[in-house]
Amino acid sequence: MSRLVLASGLNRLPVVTISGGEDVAEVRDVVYSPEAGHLVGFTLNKRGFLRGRMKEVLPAESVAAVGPDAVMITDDDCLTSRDDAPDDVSKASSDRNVIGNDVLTERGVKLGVVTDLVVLTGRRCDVVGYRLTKQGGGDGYIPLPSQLAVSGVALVVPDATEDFVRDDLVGLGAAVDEFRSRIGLQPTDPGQAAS
Amino acid sequence: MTSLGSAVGRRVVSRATADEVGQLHHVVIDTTGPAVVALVIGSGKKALVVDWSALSGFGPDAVMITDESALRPPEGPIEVATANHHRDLLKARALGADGFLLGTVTDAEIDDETGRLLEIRVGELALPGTSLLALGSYAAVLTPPDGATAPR
Repeated sequence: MSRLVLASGLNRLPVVTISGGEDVAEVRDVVYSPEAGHLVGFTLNKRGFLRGRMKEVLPAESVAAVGPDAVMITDDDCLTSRDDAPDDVSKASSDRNVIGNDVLTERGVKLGVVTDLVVLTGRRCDVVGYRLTKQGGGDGYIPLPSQLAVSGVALVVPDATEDFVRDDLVGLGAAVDEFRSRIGLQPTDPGQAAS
Repeated sequence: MTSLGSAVGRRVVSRATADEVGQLHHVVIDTTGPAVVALVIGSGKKALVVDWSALSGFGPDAVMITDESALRPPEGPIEVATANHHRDLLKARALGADGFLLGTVTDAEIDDETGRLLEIRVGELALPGTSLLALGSYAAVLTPPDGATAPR
Protein backbone atom coordinates (compact mmCIF):
# COMPACT_ATOMS: atom_id res chain seq x y z
CA MET A 1 0.00 0.00 0.00
CA SER A 2 1.30 3.51 -0.77
CA ARG A 3 0.26 6.92 0.44
CA LEU A 4 1.51 10.45 0.01
CA VAL A 5 2.79 12.01 3.22
CA LEU A 6 4.79 15.11 4.06
CA ALA A 7 8.42 14.53 4.97
CA SER A 8 7.92 16.60 8.12
CA GLY A 9 5.35 13.99 9.14
CA LEU A 10 8.07 11.35 9.15
CA ASN A 11 10.00 13.14 11.90
CA ARG A 12 9.70 11.34 15.24
CA LEU A 13 8.29 8.21 13.63
CA PRO A 14 9.53 5.05 15.34
CA VAL A 15 12.03 2.87 13.50
CA VAL A 16 10.76 -0.67 14.07
CA THR A 17 12.41 -4.02 13.37
CA ILE A 18 10.38 -6.49 11.34
CA SER A 19 12.29 -9.38 12.89
CA GLY A 20 11.76 -8.30 16.48
CA GLY A 21 8.89 -5.83 16.79
CA GLU A 22 11.17 -3.43 18.71
CA ASP A 23 11.36 0.34 18.29
CA VAL A 24 15.12 0.79 18.09
CA ALA A 25 15.19 4.49 17.18
CA GLU A 26 13.05 7.34 15.95
CA VAL A 27 13.45 9.59 12.96
CA ARG A 28 15.27 12.81 13.76
CA ASP A 29 15.48 14.20 10.26
CA VAL A 30 14.89 13.18 6.68
CA VAL A 31 17.92 13.43 4.39
CA TYR A 32 17.02 14.30 0.81
CA SER A 33 19.06 14.59 -2.34
CA PRO A 34 17.43 17.21 -4.58
CA GLU A 35 19.68 16.15 -7.45
CA ALA A 36 18.61 12.49 -7.15
CA GLY A 37 15.00 13.33 -6.28
CA HIS A 38 14.63 10.82 -3.49
CA LEU A 39 15.35 10.31 0.18
CA VAL A 40 18.84 9.05 0.88
CA GLY A 41 18.28 8.24 4.50
CA PHE A 42 17.41 9.35 8.00
CA THR A 43 19.25 10.73 10.99
CA LEU A 44 18.05 9.25 14.23
CA ASN A 45 17.20 10.01 17.83
CA LYS A 46 17.09 7.53 20.66
CA ARG A 47 13.70 6.45 21.89
CA GLY A 48 12.40 7.25 25.31
CA PHE A 49 12.07 10.20 27.62
CA LEU A 50 15.73 11.23 27.49
CA ARG A 51 16.07 10.79 23.77
CA GLY A 52 19.08 12.41 22.13
CA ARG A 53 20.83 12.09 18.85
CA MET A 54 22.05 8.64 17.91
CA LYS A 55 25.48 8.12 16.42
CA GLU A 56 24.00 5.76 13.86
CA VAL A 57 22.13 6.80 10.73
CA LEU A 58 19.73 4.84 8.53
CA PRO A 59 20.56 4.80 4.79
CA ALA A 60 17.54 4.58 2.50
CA GLU A 61 18.77 1.31 0.98
CA SER A 62 18.51 -0.30 4.41
CA VAL A 63 14.86 0.65 4.82
CA ALA A 64 12.31 -2.11 4.19
CA ALA A 65 9.31 0.23 4.10
CA VAL A 66 8.22 3.70 5.09
CA GLY A 67 4.65 4.05 6.29
CA PRO A 68 2.70 6.84 7.96
CA ASP A 69 3.10 5.14 11.34
CA ALA A 70 6.62 3.68 11.29
CA VAL A 71 9.83 3.24 9.34
CA MET A 72 10.42 -0.50 9.04
CA ILE A 73 13.81 -2.17 8.94
CA THR A 74 14.71 -5.86 8.91
CA ASP A 75 16.72 -5.71 12.13
CA ASP A 76 18.89 -3.26 14.05
CA ASP A 77 21.94 -4.20 11.95
CA CYS A 78 20.39 -1.86 9.38
CA LEU A 79 21.44 1.10 11.51
CA THR A 80 24.85 2.22 10.29
CA SER A 81 27.61 4.17 11.98
CA ARG A 82 28.29 7.53 10.38
CA ASP A 83 31.75 6.38 9.39
CA ASP A 84 30.35 3.45 7.44
CA ALA A 85 27.32 5.20 5.94
CA PRO A 86 27.28 6.74 2.46
CA ASP A 87 28.45 10.37 2.49
CA ASP A 88 25.13 11.70 1.25
CA VAL A 89 23.55 10.45 4.49
CA SER A 90 26.30 10.97 7.04
CA LYS A 91 27.58 14.25 5.70
CA ALA A 92 24.39 15.82 4.36
CA SER A 93 25.05 19.47 3.63
CA SER A 94 22.63 22.07 4.90
CA ASP A 95 23.39 24.01 1.71
CA ARG A 96 21.34 21.42 -0.22
CA ASN A 97 18.27 21.80 1.96
CA VAL A 98 15.46 22.79 -0.39
CA ILE A 99 13.18 24.05 2.37
CA GLY A 100 12.89 27.80 1.92
CA ASN A 101 14.04 27.71 -1.71
CA ASP A 102 12.20 29.68 -4.37
CA VAL A 103 10.64 27.54 -7.09
CA LEU A 104 11.13 29.11 -10.52
CA THR A 105 9.97 27.81 -13.87
CA GLU A 106 12.31 27.76 -16.86
CA ARG A 107 10.72 30.95 -18.17
CA GLY A 108 11.14 32.74 -14.86
CA VAL A 109 7.77 32.42 -13.12
CA LYS A 110 8.01 32.07 -9.36
CA LEU A 111 5.56 29.42 -8.20
CA GLY A 112 6.30 29.81 -4.51
CA VAL A 113 8.65 28.87 -1.70
CA VAL A 114 9.27 25.23 -0.70
CA THR A 115 7.96 24.39 2.78
CA ASP A 116 7.99 20.57 2.74
CA LEU A 117 8.61 17.48 0.65
CA VAL A 118 5.90 15.04 -0.45
CA VAL A 119 7.02 11.45 -0.04
CA LEU A 120 5.40 8.34 -1.50
CA THR A 121 5.37 5.73 1.25
CA GLY A 122 5.66 2.01 0.70
CA ARG A 123 8.71 -0.05 -0.10
CA ARG A 124 10.28 2.94 -1.83
CA CYS A 125 10.39 6.44 -0.41
CA ASP A 126 10.54 8.58 -3.50
CA VAL A 127 9.99 12.31 -3.23
CA VAL A 128 7.22 12.95 -5.74
CA GLY A 129 6.50 16.61 -5.04
CA TYR A 130 6.95 19.69 -2.93
CA ARG A 131 4.60 21.70 -0.78
CA LEU A 132 4.89 25.42 -1.41
CA THR A 133 3.70 28.63 0.01
CA LYS A 134 2.25 30.08 -3.19
CA GLN A 135 3.02 33.52 -4.45
CA GLY A 136 -0.52 34.63 -3.72
CA GLY A 137 -0.53 32.94 -0.32
CA GLY A 138 -1.81 29.58 0.83
CA ASP A 139 -0.40 26.13 0.34
CA GLY A 140 0.16 24.51 -3.01
CA TYR A 141 1.63 21.21 -4.11
CA ILE A 142 3.70 20.59 -7.21
CA PRO A 143 4.86 17.30 -8.68
CA LEU A 144 8.46 16.43 -9.38
CA PRO A 145 10.32 14.32 -10.85
CA SER A 146 13.34 16.50 -11.02
CA GLN A 147 14.51 20.04 -11.06
CA LEU A 148 16.51 21.37 -13.94
CA ALA A 149 18.83 23.02 -11.47
CA VAL A 150 19.13 23.44 -7.75
CA SER A 151 21.34 26.03 -6.10
CA GLY A 152 20.51 25.92 -2.41
CA VAL A 153 18.56 29.16 -2.86
CA ALA A 154 16.28 28.30 -5.77
CA LEU A 155 14.98 25.37 -7.78
CA VAL A 156 14.24 25.53 -11.49
CA VAL A 157 11.40 23.31 -12.70
CA PRO A 158 9.87 22.61 -16.14
CA ASP A 159 7.39 25.23 -17.43
CA ALA A 160 4.68 22.53 -17.44
CA THR A 161 4.82 22.47 -13.65
CA GLU A 162 2.83 25.71 -13.57
CA ASP A 163 -0.23 23.82 -14.90
CA PHE A 164 0.03 21.23 -12.14
CA VAL A 165 -0.04 23.27 -8.95
CA ARG A 166 -2.60 21.58 -6.71
CA ASP A 167 -4.28 22.57 -3.45
CA ASP A 168 -3.90 19.30 -1.52
CA LEU A 169 -2.15 15.96 -1.46
CA VAL A 170 -5.10 14.17 -3.03
CA GLY A 171 -4.94 16.50 -6.00
CA LEU A 172 -1.18 16.07 -6.20
CA GLY A 173 -1.53 12.30 -6.23
CA ALA A 174 -3.76 12.49 -9.28
CA ALA A 175 -1.44 15.01 -10.97
CA VAL A 176 1.88 13.19 -10.62
CA ASP A 177 1.45 10.59 -13.35
CA GLU A 178 -0.20 13.05 -15.74
CA PHE A 179 2.64 15.49 -15.18
CA ARG A 180 5.28 12.89 -15.82
CA SER A 181 3.50 11.79 -18.96
CA ARG A 182 3.37 15.42 -20.12
CA ILE A 183 7.12 15.86 -19.79
CA GLY A 184 7.92 12.44 -21.18
CA LEU A 185 8.77 10.37 -18.12
CA GLN A 186 7.61 6.91 -17.02
CA PRO A 187 5.00 7.18 -14.22
CA THR A 188 6.90 4.91 -11.86
CA ASP A 189 10.39 5.90 -12.78
CA PRO A 190 11.14 9.39 -11.49
CA GLY A 191 14.12 11.12 -13.02
CA GLN A 192 14.42 8.73 -15.97
CA ALA A 193 13.50 9.63 -19.54
CA ALA A 194 10.97 7.45 -21.32
CA SER A 195 12.61 5.07 -23.79
CA MET B 1 -9.76 -24.00 18.43
CA THR B 2 -9.50 -21.80 21.51
CA SER B 3 -9.64 -18.07 22.05
CA LEU B 4 -6.58 -16.78 23.90
CA GLY B 5 -8.60 -13.88 25.20
CA SER B 6 -10.99 -16.24 26.96
CA ALA B 7 -8.14 -18.45 28.21
CA VAL B 8 -6.30 -15.73 30.12
CA GLY B 9 -7.24 -16.00 33.78
CA ARG B 10 -8.19 -19.67 33.43
CA ARG B 11 -7.11 -21.87 36.32
CA VAL B 12 -4.13 -24.16 35.88
CA VAL B 13 -4.47 -27.55 37.56
CA SER B 14 -2.04 -30.39 38.17
CA ARG B 15 -3.38 -33.64 36.76
CA ALA B 16 -1.29 -35.60 39.26
CA THR B 17 -2.63 -33.91 42.42
CA ALA B 18 -5.75 -32.07 41.24
CA ASP B 19 -4.29 -28.99 42.95
CA GLU B 20 -4.76 -25.59 41.36
CA VAL B 21 -1.27 -24.15 40.84
CA GLY B 22 -2.29 -20.72 39.61
CA GLN B 23 -3.94 -18.85 36.79
CA LEU B 24 -2.87 -18.41 33.20
CA HIS B 25 -1.49 -14.86 32.77
CA HIS B 26 0.48 -14.91 29.54
CA VAL B 27 1.47 -17.17 26.69
CA VAL B 28 4.95 -17.44 25.22
CA ILE B 29 4.76 -17.33 21.46
CA ASP B 30 7.39 -18.61 19.06
CA THR B 31 6.91 -16.55 15.92
CA THR B 32 8.62 -19.11 13.70
CA GLY B 33 5.56 -21.42 14.00
CA PRO B 34 3.87 -19.37 14.95
CA ALA B 35 2.68 -21.21 18.02
CA VAL B 36 2.26 -21.00 21.75
CA VAL B 37 5.24 -22.85 23.16
CA ALA B 38 4.80 -22.18 26.87
CA LEU B 39 2.39 -20.71 29.37
CA VAL B 40 3.14 -18.21 32.12
CA ILE B 41 1.35 -18.68 35.39
CA GLY B 42 1.40 -15.62 37.59
CA SER B 43 3.43 -12.59 36.60
CA GLY B 44 6.50 -10.58 37.51
CA LYS B 45 8.78 -12.10 40.12
CA LYS B 46 6.28 -14.82 41.00
CA ALA B 47 5.86 -16.00 37.44
CA LEU B 48 6.32 -19.65 36.62
CA VAL B 49 6.53 -21.17 33.16
CA VAL B 50 5.28 -24.51 31.88
CA ASP B 51 6.18 -25.77 28.42
CA TRP B 52 3.31 -26.63 26.07
CA SER B 53 4.71 -30.15 25.89
CA ALA B 54 4.03 -30.57 29.62
CA LEU B 55 0.31 -29.92 29.24
CA SER B 56 -2.10 -32.80 29.39
CA GLY B 57 -4.94 -30.64 28.20
CA PHE B 58 -5.98 -27.08 27.33
CA GLY B 59 -9.65 -27.23 28.15
CA PRO B 60 -12.42 -24.65 28.27
CA ASP B 61 -12.51 -24.71 32.07
CA ALA B 62 -8.94 -25.47 33.08
CA VAL B 63 -5.44 -25.87 31.74
CA MET B 64 -4.07 -29.22 32.87
CA ILE B 65 -0.36 -29.77 33.52
CA THR B 66 1.08 -33.21 34.07
CA ASP B 67 2.44 -32.37 37.51
CA GLU B 68 3.98 -29.49 39.43
CA SER B 69 7.53 -30.53 38.57
CA ALA B 70 6.80 -29.10 35.11
CA LEU B 71 6.75 -25.59 36.58
CA ARG B 72 9.96 -23.57 36.39
CA PRO B 73 11.13 -19.93 36.49
CA PRO B 74 11.20 -18.00 33.20
CA GLU B 75 14.35 -18.63 31.17
CA GLY B 76 15.83 -16.47 28.46
CA PRO B 77 14.88 -12.99 27.29
CA ILE B 78 11.61 -13.99 25.59
CA GLU B 79 10.12 -15.79 28.58
CA VAL B 80 11.28 -13.05 30.95
CA ALA B 81 9.82 -10.32 28.71
CA THR B 82 6.55 -12.23 28.46
CA ALA B 83 6.33 -12.71 32.24
CA ASN B 84 6.96 -8.97 32.71
CA HIS B 85 4.14 -7.91 30.33
CA HIS B 86 6.57 -6.76 27.66
CA ARG B 87 5.66 -9.31 25.04
CA ASP B 88 1.92 -9.92 25.11
CA LEU B 89 0.13 -10.66 21.86
CA LEU B 90 -3.23 -9.66 23.30
CA LYS B 91 -3.60 -5.85 23.28
CA ALA B 92 -0.35 -5.52 21.32
CA ARG B 93 -0.03 -2.68 18.85
CA ALA B 94 -0.60 -4.35 15.45
CA LEU B 95 1.80 -2.84 12.93
CA GLY B 96 2.04 -3.91 9.31
CA ALA B 97 5.47 -4.61 7.89
CA ASP B 98 4.72 -1.73 5.50
CA GLY B 99 4.68 0.77 8.37
CA PHE B 100 0.89 1.13 8.56
CA LEU B 101 -0.78 0.78 11.93
CA LEU B 102 -3.56 -1.81 11.75
CA GLY B 103 -4.95 -1.34 15.25
CA THR B 104 -4.72 -3.36 18.43
CA VAL B 105 -4.71 -7.14 18.69
CA THR B 106 -8.04 -7.96 20.30
CA ASP B 107 -7.86 -11.75 20.32
CA ALA B 108 -6.17 -14.78 18.83
CA GLU B 109 -7.25 -18.34 18.17
CA ILE B 110 -4.98 -21.30 18.82
CA ASP B 111 -5.17 -25.01 18.16
CA ASP B 112 -5.76 -26.40 21.66
CA GLU B 113 -3.94 -29.63 20.76
CA THR B 114 -0.75 -28.20 19.26
CA GLY B 115 -0.73 -24.57 20.41
CA ARG B 116 -0.43 -23.43 16.81
CA LEU B 117 -1.58 -19.87 16.21
CA LEU B 118 -4.49 -20.07 13.80
CA GLU B 119 -5.93 -16.59 13.65
CA ILE B 120 -5.20 -13.09 14.92
CA ARG B 121 -8.00 -10.57 15.38
CA VAL B 122 -7.27 -6.89 15.03
CA GLY B 123 -10.61 -5.22 15.59
CA GLU B 124 -12.77 -6.26 12.66
CA LEU B 125 -9.81 -7.79 10.81
CA ALA B 126 -9.25 -11.55 11.01
CA LEU B 127 -5.75 -12.42 9.87
CA PRO B 128 -4.18 -15.86 9.50
CA GLY B 129 -1.83 -16.82 12.32
CA THR B 130 1.00 -17.00 9.83
CA SER B 131 0.70 -13.22 9.42
CA LEU B 132 2.65 -12.79 12.65
CA LEU B 133 6.21 -11.87 11.73
CA ALA B 134 7.45 -10.68 15.11
CA LEU B 135 6.25 -9.91 18.61
CA GLY B 136 8.20 -7.36 20.60
CA SER B 137 7.78 -4.76 23.29
CA TYR B 138 6.69 -2.13 20.75
CA ALA B 139 4.48 -4.06 18.37
CA ALA B 140 3.23 -7.26 16.86
CA VAL B 141 4.52 -6.96 13.29
CA LEU B 142 2.17 -8.50 10.77
CA THR B 143 2.19 -9.19 7.06
CA PRO B 144 0.00 -6.38 5.68
CA PRO B 145 -3.46 -7.54 4.68
CA ASP B 146 -4.22 -6.74 1.06
CA GLY B 147 -5.70 -3.28 0.85
CA ALA B 148 -7.00 -3.31 4.41
CA THR B 149 -6.33 -1.04 7.32
CA ALA B 150 -8.22 -0.59 10.54
CA PRO B 151 -10.35 2.55 10.75
CA ARG B 152 -8.51 5.45 12.39
